[in-house]
Order: sequence, then structure tokens, then C-alpha cells
Amino acid sequence: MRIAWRALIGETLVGRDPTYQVTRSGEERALRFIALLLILQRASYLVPTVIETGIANATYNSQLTNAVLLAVAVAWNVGLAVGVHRWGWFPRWTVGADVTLMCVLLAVSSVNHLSNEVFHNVNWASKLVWATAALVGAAVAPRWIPLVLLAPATAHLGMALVRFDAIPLSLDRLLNLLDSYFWWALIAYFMRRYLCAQGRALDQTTQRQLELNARRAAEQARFAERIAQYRTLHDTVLTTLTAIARGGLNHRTVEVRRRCATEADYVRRLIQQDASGTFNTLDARLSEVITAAESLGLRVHYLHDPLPADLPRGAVDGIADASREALNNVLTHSGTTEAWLTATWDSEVLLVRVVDRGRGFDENSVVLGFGIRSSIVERMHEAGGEATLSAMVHNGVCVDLVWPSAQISS
Amino acid sequence: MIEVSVVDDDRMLLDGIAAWFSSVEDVVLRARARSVDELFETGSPLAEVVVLDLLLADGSDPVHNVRRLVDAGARVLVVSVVPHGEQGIDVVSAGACGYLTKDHDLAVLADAVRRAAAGDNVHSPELAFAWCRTDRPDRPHLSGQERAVLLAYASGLTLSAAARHAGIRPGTAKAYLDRVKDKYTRAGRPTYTKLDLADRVREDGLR
Repeated sequence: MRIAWRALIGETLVGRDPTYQVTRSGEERALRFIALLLILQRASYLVPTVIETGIANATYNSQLTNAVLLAVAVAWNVGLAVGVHRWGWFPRWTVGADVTLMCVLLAVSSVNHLSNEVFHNVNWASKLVWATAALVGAAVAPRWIPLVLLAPATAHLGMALVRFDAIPLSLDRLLNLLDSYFWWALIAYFMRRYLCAQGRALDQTTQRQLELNARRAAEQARFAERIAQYRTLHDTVLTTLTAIARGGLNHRTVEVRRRCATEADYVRRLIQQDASGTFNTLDARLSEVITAAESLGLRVHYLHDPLPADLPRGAVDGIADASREALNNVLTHSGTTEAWLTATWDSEVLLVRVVDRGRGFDENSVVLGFGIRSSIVERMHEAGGEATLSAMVHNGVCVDLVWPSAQISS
Repeated sequence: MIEVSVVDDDRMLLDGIAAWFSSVEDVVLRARARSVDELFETGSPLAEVVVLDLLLADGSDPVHNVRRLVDAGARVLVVSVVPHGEQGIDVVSAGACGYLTKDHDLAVLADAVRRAAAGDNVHSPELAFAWCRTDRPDRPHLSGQERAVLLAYASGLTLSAAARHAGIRPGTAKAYLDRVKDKYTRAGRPTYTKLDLADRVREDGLR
């Protein structure tokens, strides 16, 4: 019982942890709370009975039989408490088992009782059946409650009839007995209905608040991104156009045209990003990587699917850094100043491909350098993905970054 | 000498492209206009290749523009500032021989014009990407190898490298791209009437 007590109640009643189980849903917490009350109700009947049985009890024919019945009842209820702590609520089969057990306990205990006060509180089983009535009220659909409660009532009255050839109850006491079943079931039913409804309402309010917070956070991130974009536009496109508009700058020179092309690519990416509505970390990080590569003189053609917004931070970092290294390799080794970066998202698998049409190399005769092995292959491996590289002489190099790796995704 | 007309609503771009083509020996700019209507209003015969801006300031429908020019006997090459994949598919299905963005350099554009003039298909990574990534319900069925070649070519690989990626010969890769274009063109043919439907059946039967 002590274990069940601690398992079920935990830190709640001692008040050391007011946030106990706060991460669970409101409905689940309501059910757990009702379960706690139902178990406590059982404890309130069983604990005094156990104590009384331990001191002295001459109301039963066989003390041993009574002790065995009590031990069974205690064991079942302790098991029920531990199980409910694990499951969160009473599974249907436990309700059926509890009703059945109560029928057996009521019948045997009534036969074992010395006096004809088998309906009186001194017969502990007749009190414990109230807890069963409450459980039925809380855990069974309303239309089945009277039918289910009929079972213990029938067992109790039936056994009295067998033993005394009559039911030793006046009509008003009989009604009182059935009345107590009914009220316990009704109280538990309304308690569950009200608390669960409150829990669901609380969940909905919390969900709305979370969505609102997420939207605000996204708007703030978007605003910060916009500010960064305005700054970049000011430092690049606006500065270039202003210089050309003022005159004196020969816009036909190779340097100015190259700068215009790079800045046009930047604006093109902004429009694509805005049109697809896919503002997310990976997209933003890849755009940063491309902008950095373009500042070094590389032109990058960027095509992409709407990319997932919820990739793990480590994966985003790994893919972005590996892409950066792949573009650096194009600058350093390809002999061209043009690259393609394509990102697709298919069946929960991300493919980022970096391609150039440069001089390439013969895969069979060239050993991959430290940069590719360490900064691309190993980095992707650490991020949970994989990287492959293919090349053809005079037909460039293709670096595929796949996340998650085939081993993980399978 | 290949005659080209350019339709673009940006005068500066028209001037720039005129200067551009003046440096290409085998291409001559015949006319430039800010809309398809304006091009037809000149009254002169159409050039064999028309470079058409996808989205014009007059708000005209790109597909309608392409159909008008194709019906008038021109080979149409559609260009746009930023990739508009779905509209790129539509204009090529409507009869344009290719679709590409304006960020390519002169050599790529001049090569596209030459291919268009020769009656060849003009493939571009941006159109290949749109073909293999679209999720429109009426998209034609593509085989696994067709998709592999499309994605490889869309990723910027040369045709030879794309072929190697898919494990086929370069000539076969080009045939795959042509076949995909053909599938999309057939999927995009209008069948508004029973006569259209009969035409489509007859065309398919003749292939």
C-alpha cells in the first residue's frame, strides 16, 4: 500500500513539486487525479479493516477465511494502484475484474459473517463495493452503469437470500443500499465528466497559446531576417545602382557586370524564397552559404523544393557546412566560376547536390583530399547523413549530401 | 543567319539584349516589342525565333502569347527573371520550344536560339527541375530513368554527366529529355471539344 501510495501520489500531496506531471495533457492529468481519489477511497475502507482484523475481530465465522479475503482484496487494490499509475487510467478489463472480484468477496464474506448484519458496515466487503460503484461510474459508459452495478447488488442480495431464506432488510434499508451504489456512481461520473472537460478546455487554450507564441516567434525571426536582407540589399544592390545612376561608373566593365550578376542572383533567391513561403533554417543557411560563395566570385544557380522547417539543428549545420565546403572546392579546383546547388525533399529524405561543369577528374586515379573527407564526408556522417562524390574528366564534379543516411532512414 | 525577335516589357533589357545579339555573328535581331500585340502590329513577317518574356506588363496570358506566336509560325523561346516552374511547364506544353531564366550568360542564350532555329528542343535545368518536381494532378507518368535523368540534368550536370549518373549513354539521356517534353506537351494539349479529342487521337495514332 505504501508503494502504491507513493507511486500514485508521488510529490503531489506533499507539495514539493507543484508542477508534477504538468507536461501531460489536461485530460490525462484529470484522469490521473480521479484515479487517485478512487484508489484513496478504497484505501479508506481497507486500511481500518486491516487494523481491526489485526487487533481482534469476532464478527466472522472463520478468521482465517476473512484474513484470506482481506489479503486478496488488499493485493488486488495494491496491484490496481500500481497498474493505474503506469497506465494513467483503469483499462476496461480492470473494471470487469474489480466487479467480478467484488461479487465473490461480497458473497463469501456475507456467508462468513456471524450475524445477519451482512449489509451493515461491519461487513467490510459491503463498504468496499461503494468504491466499485464509484469506479463503474467513472469508467463505464453511462448507459451500462445500472447494468454493471446490478452484478454486485445481485451477488449481495442473492447470497443473503440463500443464507437466511429471506433478505434481512426492510424496504427503506434496501432502497438505501441501492441508493448508495447509485450516488457513488453518479458522483464519480460527473466528477470525471467535469474534470475531463476542463482538462480538454485547458489543453485547447494552451495549444492556442503555443500556436500564438510560435507564430510570434516566426514573425520575429522573419522580421530579423528582413532586417538582415535590407542591410544586404543596401550594401550591395542599392549601392551598385546608386553608383551607376550617378554616372561616372562604366557599367560595361567585366567587374561591374559580374557584381551586378551576383547581386541579381541574390535578389532572385529572395524572390524565390518569398514566393515559396518556405522561410526556414535550412533554406536560410543555404542562402547564407551561397551568398558567401558569391562574395568570393562564384555564381551559384539555386533550385529547391519547399524544404522542411523542423530538421534537427545538427543536421542543418552539417548540411550547410558541407555545402559551403563543396562550393569552396568548386572555386578552388573546378576552373569555373559557376555552380549549381539543388535541394530536394522526397519521402522524408533530403538531397542537397552541389554541381559544377568544370575540369572534373578521373575518379579511378585521384585520391580524395583531406578537405573532402573531413569537411564533407565525415561532417555529413556526424550529422546523421552521408556524402558521395562523383566526377568525370571535363564534365565537372557532383557532390550529393543525403540526410538522413540510408542506414538510419531504413 | 538566324533572325530573332524579342518581346520584353523592360526597355532597358530590350536595349541590352539588342547590344548583346549584335556581338553574335550568326544571330540578327529583326524586331523588338514590349508585348505580343505590339510585335504583330509592326506588320512585318515574324522572325523564325521569338524570345518571349514570360510575364509581360500588359498582363497577357503567357500560354495564350505562346500559342499566338506558334500559330503564326514562330519558334518560341520563353525567358523569365526568376524561375516560375509551373508556368514554364505550361508554356512549353503550349508549344514553346524551351524555357529558361535570364541569368544565363550570352553563350547559353545564343546556343538556345540556334537550337530553337534548328527545330530542336531547348532543355534547361530550370525546366527539367519543374518537370521532375511538379505535383500537378495531370502530370504524365515518368519512368524511373526519365526521372533520374531529369533530376541529374536539373541539378546542373552536363548531359554526359547526367547520362553517367543514370547509367545510360549521353544520346539516350537527350532522348529521355525529349521524350519527357513530348509527354508534357501531349498532356497539355487542349481538348475542349469532341473535335479536339478526335484530333488528339489521330495525332497519337500517327506517332
